[in-house]
Amino acid sequence: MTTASPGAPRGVRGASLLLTLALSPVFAATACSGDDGPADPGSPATSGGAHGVEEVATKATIGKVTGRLAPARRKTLRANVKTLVDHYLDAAYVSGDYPRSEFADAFPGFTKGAESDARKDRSLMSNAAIGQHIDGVEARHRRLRIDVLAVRKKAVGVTARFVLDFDTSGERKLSERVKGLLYMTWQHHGGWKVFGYDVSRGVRR
Amino acid sequence: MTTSTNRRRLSRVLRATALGMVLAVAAIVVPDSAVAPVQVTLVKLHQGSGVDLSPDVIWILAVGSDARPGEDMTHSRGDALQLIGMNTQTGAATAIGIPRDSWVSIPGYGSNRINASLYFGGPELLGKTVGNLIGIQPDYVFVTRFQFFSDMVRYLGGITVNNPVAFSDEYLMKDGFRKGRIHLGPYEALAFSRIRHNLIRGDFDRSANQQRTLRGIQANVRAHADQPGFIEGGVLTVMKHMYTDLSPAELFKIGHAMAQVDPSKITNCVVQGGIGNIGGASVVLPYVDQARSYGNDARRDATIKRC
Repeated sequence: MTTASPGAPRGVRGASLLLTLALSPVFAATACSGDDGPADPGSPATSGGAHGVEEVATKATIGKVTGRLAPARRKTLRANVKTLVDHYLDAAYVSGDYPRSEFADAFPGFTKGAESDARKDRSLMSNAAIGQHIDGVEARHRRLRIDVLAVRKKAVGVTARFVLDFDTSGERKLSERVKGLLYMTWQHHGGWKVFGYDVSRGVRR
Repeated sequence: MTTSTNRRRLSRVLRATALGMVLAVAAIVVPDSAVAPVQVTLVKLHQGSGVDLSPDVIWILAVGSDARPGEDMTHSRGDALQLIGMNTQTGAATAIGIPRDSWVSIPGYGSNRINASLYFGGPELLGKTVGNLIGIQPDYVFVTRFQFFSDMVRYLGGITVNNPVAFSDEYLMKDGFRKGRIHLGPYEALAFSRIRHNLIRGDFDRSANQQRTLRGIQANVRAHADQPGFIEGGVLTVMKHMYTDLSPAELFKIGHAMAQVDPSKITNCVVQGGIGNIGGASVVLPYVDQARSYGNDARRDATIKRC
C-alpha cells in the first residue's frame, strides 16, 4: 500500500506521463485511419487577437475511428466537435477584451461537473491567472484531431486532441502552448458535452 | 444511504457481466503516428485532469465467475470478489477484497457463502449482499469469466505484479511464481489470481493476489490510455463480451475514469475472518466490524488509511 505525495495536485498524473506529454506531439500530420479526406478549412476562430492580425483557423481532422461511421456523419461530427472546441478555446484563452478578469463563461460545452473541475484548474484551463496582466492574445496555431467511438454507426464518444499556440501582449509577453485531450459524449438534449479533460500548458520557445 | 438511493443505485447495476474492474478497459494498442506540427520545448508545464462522473466516488463490484463454457455467468458462483472505489476528483482508488467463502446473510435466502448470492439472484443480489457486508452499495457490478479475463490480459500484452512470496500449485501452475516483480501472461495472470491451496493464509492471500493483479492491469491501462483509440477500443471489446444496460457513453466515461486513477493513491485491504465449519463445509466467518470499518473509511474518498 502506498500513499499519495503530500500536496499532490488534484488529478495530476505521474512524471513519466508528464514527460511524455511534454515531449511527444499530439497530432498526426499524415493521414490516419478513419481520416475522411482534407480537413475543413474551418471557420475563422473568433480570436480577440488584437492588432488586426489575420485570425488563425482551427485545422480539424478525424483521427482514429473505432467502430463504423459513415463519411457524411464523420463530416458532421468534425464540424460539431470543432465548433465546441473553438468555443472553449476562444472563451478560455483567445477571445475577450483584455485585460480581463472575468472568466465565468470560460467553459462552454462542459458538463456541470467538468466545469466545476475546470474552475479549480482555471489557471491551466483558461487565462484567468494572467488575464489582468495582458492586453491582447494572438492565436498562432490551432489544431484538432478527433478520435471517435462509434456504436451502431453513430458516434457516442469522442476524444478531442487539441493544440493551441498563442502569444500575449502587454505587461506579460508570453508565447504559450496549451494542449491536451477533451473527452466528450453525446447528450440527447445537449449535443456534445465535455465530461473530462487531460490538459497541459507550457511556455513555447 | 436511504432505501430509495439504494434502489436507484441498484437500478444502475449492470445486469451482467464483463470484466473485472479496470479490466473494463481492455487494450487495443494503436501505433501512434503523431508528428509535431511545430517544434516546441515546454520548459514550464502545468497539467490537470478531471472526469465528471456522478457521484464523485463510484463503486464497482468486480466479480470473477467460475462459470464454465456454456454456463450462465450471471448465475454462477463468484470466485473472486473485489469492491473497488474510484474517486474521480482525486484519482484515488481502493479495493476491498472479500473471501469468496465468507458466510453471510443473503437477502431472501438465509445464510450462505457470499459467492452463492450470484447463483441465487444474479449481479443485483450479489451487489446487495456485498454492499450489506461492507456498508457500501456498489454503483456497478462487473462479472467476467476466466476465458475473457485471459483474453484481456493478452490484449494488454501481459501485466507486471509484485509478488511477496513464492508459491505454486500442482494443477494450475506447477512451476509456480517466484517472489518479486514478475511479468504475467494471460494464463499466468489467471492462475496467480486463482491459486489458494499453497498460500499460507489461503483465501485471504488469494484475495490479496487478486488485488495485485488489478493493480497490474490498471497500471497497464493507464500507460496506454493516451494512445489514440485505446479507450474507445476497450469499450467496444467490453461490449462484445458482455450484456449490460449501461450505454456505450457511460462505459466510455468509466474507462476514462479508470485510466485517471493515480497508482500512488491506490489502497487495498482484504476483509479478514475466522475459519468455521458449517454443515460440514469449511467457511470463512468474516469480521463484520472490520468490513464495516473499511467501508466507513473509504466511503467518501475511496481511500483506506490502514488495514
